[in-house]
Amino acid sequence: MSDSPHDMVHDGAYEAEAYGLHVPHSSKKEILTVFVVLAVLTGIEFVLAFAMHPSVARTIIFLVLTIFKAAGIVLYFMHMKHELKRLMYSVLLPLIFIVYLVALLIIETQG
Amino acid sequence: MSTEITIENGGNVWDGRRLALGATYGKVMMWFFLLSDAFTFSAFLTAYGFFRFSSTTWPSPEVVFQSFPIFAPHGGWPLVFVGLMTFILIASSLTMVLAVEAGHRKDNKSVVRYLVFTIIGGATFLSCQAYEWSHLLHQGLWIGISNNDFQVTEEMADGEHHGGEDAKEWIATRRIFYPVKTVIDGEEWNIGGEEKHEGTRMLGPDYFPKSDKPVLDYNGVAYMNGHGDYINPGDAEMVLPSGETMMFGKLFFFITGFHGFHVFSGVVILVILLTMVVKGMMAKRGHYEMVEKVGLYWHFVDLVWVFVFTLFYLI
Repeated sequence: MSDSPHDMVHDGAYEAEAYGLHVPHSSKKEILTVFVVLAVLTGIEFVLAFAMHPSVARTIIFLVLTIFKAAGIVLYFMHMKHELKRLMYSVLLPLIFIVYLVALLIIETQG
Repeated sequence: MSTEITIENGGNVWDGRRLALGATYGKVMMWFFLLSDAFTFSAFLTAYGFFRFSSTTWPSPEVVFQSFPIFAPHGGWPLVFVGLMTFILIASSLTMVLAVEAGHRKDNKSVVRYLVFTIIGGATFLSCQAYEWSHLLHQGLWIGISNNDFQVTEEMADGEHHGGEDAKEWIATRRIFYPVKTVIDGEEWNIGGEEKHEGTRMLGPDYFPKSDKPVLDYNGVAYMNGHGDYINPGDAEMVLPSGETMMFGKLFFFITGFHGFHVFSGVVILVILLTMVVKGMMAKRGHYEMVEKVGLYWHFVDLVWVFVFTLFYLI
């Protein structure tokens, strides 16, 4: 037996399956539900762009809806919800730097 | 099968021989590539937000983006076209995730079908973006110094646009212009749209350093020539966009261009993937993980668009 982990994978077998891992995937019903939610949220944003005058409140509503949509895409379309927590945190936690940058700029532009 | 990795023979999960993050190397690296790309995009989008919220005036999206090919080429359908583009991209994300799902079932035929739909969606999105780019270019926006000056000179020279009212109408039909209140040196000015500005304001000659022609500032704030002399608005030969409008143009073309390049790359990668699937390479391998990895990239492109849509078109 070789030391290389790749040698443990049989030729033609899915590497993840060969390691005895559950390959994450979403059911068709879940996918379609997320799609409908994304479409509806976009529709709400579209309506609000005309129904509300530009204001801080409207901007916050838009950003919250956007983050909901982004979460839907990452968690369900990209199957992040079904990945190991370790991978999830490795990818998602560094995004805190973006929040930090945005927070700094919001504070500074209030000047 | 468990979602957790079983640690055999008491070994450490990080000592090799197992997938420490529960995904194959290729997939983990795709995730980290996307993370780095997320930082790049967020730097651009944050810069946009920074300029947007620290400016006293800014072009209004429902005024800038209101044309629709064939049905409303000269405006009147605000945000409809970009709404359609967004829907197309989300729909292509749906067909992509369905291709991944078909891959899990090892259903080669369905994978091919959904990949074709995804490619069509991506190509349609790119075509829509080409239309929108060309539309804004013709309105005089661009990353660099716009060719707006030359265009205005042509239009005004052809005899159609003379006199103060014509000049104002010309500005109004540019669509980028929108009524705002702005503060210049502590004084409030109503400019643009139906509202007439309350007066003229002289800006120093250095405001139009390169011009020796009579210039009308895009905001209607300054009527003057390059030598700093006051002129009649109707005698203007050039209309300059406001600084904020030009900034908007630069950011719009750069950021949507960077995103569009991602979409274009995605379409190319999808076409390569499709030929591989059609040739039966995935079926031969026994798994469709390549579809999953391309899918991650494609969803990321959609994800970025969700933010671009909010920042450029809604806020």
